[in-house]
Amino acid sequence: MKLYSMSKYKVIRPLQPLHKKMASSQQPTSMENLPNDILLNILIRLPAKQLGQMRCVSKPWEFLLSQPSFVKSHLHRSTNNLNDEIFLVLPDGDYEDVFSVTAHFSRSPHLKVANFVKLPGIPSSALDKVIFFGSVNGLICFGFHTYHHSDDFVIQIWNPSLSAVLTVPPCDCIHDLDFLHFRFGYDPKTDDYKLVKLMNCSQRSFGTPKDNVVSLNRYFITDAQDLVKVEVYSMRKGSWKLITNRLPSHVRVLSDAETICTDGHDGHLHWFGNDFGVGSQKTIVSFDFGVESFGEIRLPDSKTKYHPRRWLRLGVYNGKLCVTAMNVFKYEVWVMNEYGVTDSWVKMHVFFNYRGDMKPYGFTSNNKFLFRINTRVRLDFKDPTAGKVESFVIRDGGDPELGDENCSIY
Amino acid sequence: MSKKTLTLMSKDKQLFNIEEHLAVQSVTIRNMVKEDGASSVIPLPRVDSETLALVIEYLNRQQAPEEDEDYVKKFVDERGEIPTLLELAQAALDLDIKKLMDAACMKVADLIKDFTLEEVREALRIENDRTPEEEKAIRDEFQWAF
Repeated sequence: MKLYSMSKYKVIRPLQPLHKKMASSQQPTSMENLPNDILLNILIRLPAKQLGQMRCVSKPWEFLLSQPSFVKSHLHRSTNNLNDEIFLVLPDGDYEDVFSVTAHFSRSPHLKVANFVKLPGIPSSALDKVIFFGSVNGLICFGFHTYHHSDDFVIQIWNPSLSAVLTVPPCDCIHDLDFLHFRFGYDPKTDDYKLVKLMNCSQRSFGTPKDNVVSLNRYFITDAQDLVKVEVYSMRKGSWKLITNRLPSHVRVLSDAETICTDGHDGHLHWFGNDFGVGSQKTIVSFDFGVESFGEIRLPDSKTKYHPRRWLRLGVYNGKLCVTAMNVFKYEVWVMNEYGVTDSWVKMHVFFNYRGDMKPYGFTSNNKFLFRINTRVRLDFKDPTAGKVESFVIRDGGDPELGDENCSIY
Repeated sequence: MSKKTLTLMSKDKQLFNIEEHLAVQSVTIRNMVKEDGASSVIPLPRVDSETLALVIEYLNRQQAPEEDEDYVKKFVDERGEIPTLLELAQAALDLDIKKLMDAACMKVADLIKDFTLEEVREALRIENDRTPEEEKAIRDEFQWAF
């Protein structure tokens, strides 16, 4: 009978029947005797943080938990689990400059973010120069200078659950960060994680101090189209590839500063694009990971005009591309119901009357609005439908630290 | 016409009867019935009689399909002790009853979710096979988790 063949159960130890439950108080029931199928079925449901601890349980557990297949399935599960933890990337403890916020609604919304993760393997001299390129499905991509060598710019993709760090192979022409821009994302069609690199080869400086690496990633001057070189790194292939497709020709500036991490939106990256002049028009520039080409999406008509006092933020709401438009007292959330169709923009929500300076970050995966008010150590949720606000506190930290992992994109 | 009945035998040689159309919720039994008609007794050498009785109770449930999810959850909730659940999971694995196995595993995961390392070891009676130094090395590597 096939049923009882040992080979069916990839076991670490020979299978033995479990002790009868009557005897279990005297005779220990040991999970070490459990088939891996059961053990994995249980462990995959545990939060990543606890799994980090569980590696200590025993050697067979550590072996199981470090299997790439397990980590992948766990990642996949967490991504689809709406009841997971909040994840924030906070460079240098400065919440003004949250580069990318990736979040799952917390199981306990009033949680204190008690667990911080230090980025692995970064020389302390480089810590304040870490640039985040994005975070998808719990993988975090960042780059930093080692300072051993002026050309040494290291890009890594980190999986906190696995404690694995992948160093991206060096790419072409990385000698001057003023002219570089990176974004990290996921392509669901090929199940691949990709990093897009834009490089302006014109070598003209736009007045950005060279040593201020962090700010360099926020705006990218596209300048003359022909001089912009685009490369894409595929984690699956493990290599960089030159992309010949060009950015929309009238777009002169890509801005990342107002962008919530939108990399998760069905295999697309998004930036705001500007034509960089008086009365300039704003637009959305997209990059499709599947076909590896750029596109353009028009903003709602009322939002296309550039205005210094009105900010826009890109995000994803309910799986759809959204724009949060900030005025002095109100925040409008526009949602693009049909991807790429300008006519499908709908004003979904308007939030009024928040005391103080409210800074929206975007929406969590179950459509809670995440924002900060005034203080640096407080973030609030608003569930637009329920109209209630929940808040949690972030510990003030010194180094670039990360909150609970186990994350996904909006 | 009477419905066809199968006989399952537990590890401790107890016999359980179950109607074939209910028993074939188990993919294992379904395959056996397909292959050889399974007219004789089906031995389940890793499932004790108490667990098998639970499995039979589960297979005999008379639930509308739309209430089935809730029923499975409630079923394992009522047997909320880890050793029982693990045996149930093991039986469900052998018999290939996915829903039951998933529900049992989910319940165990729920129970141990907030456990510390030591509590998990104690609850599941796992022996620490590491030296304090080895454990410290892992704790250092996974500092964020502790």
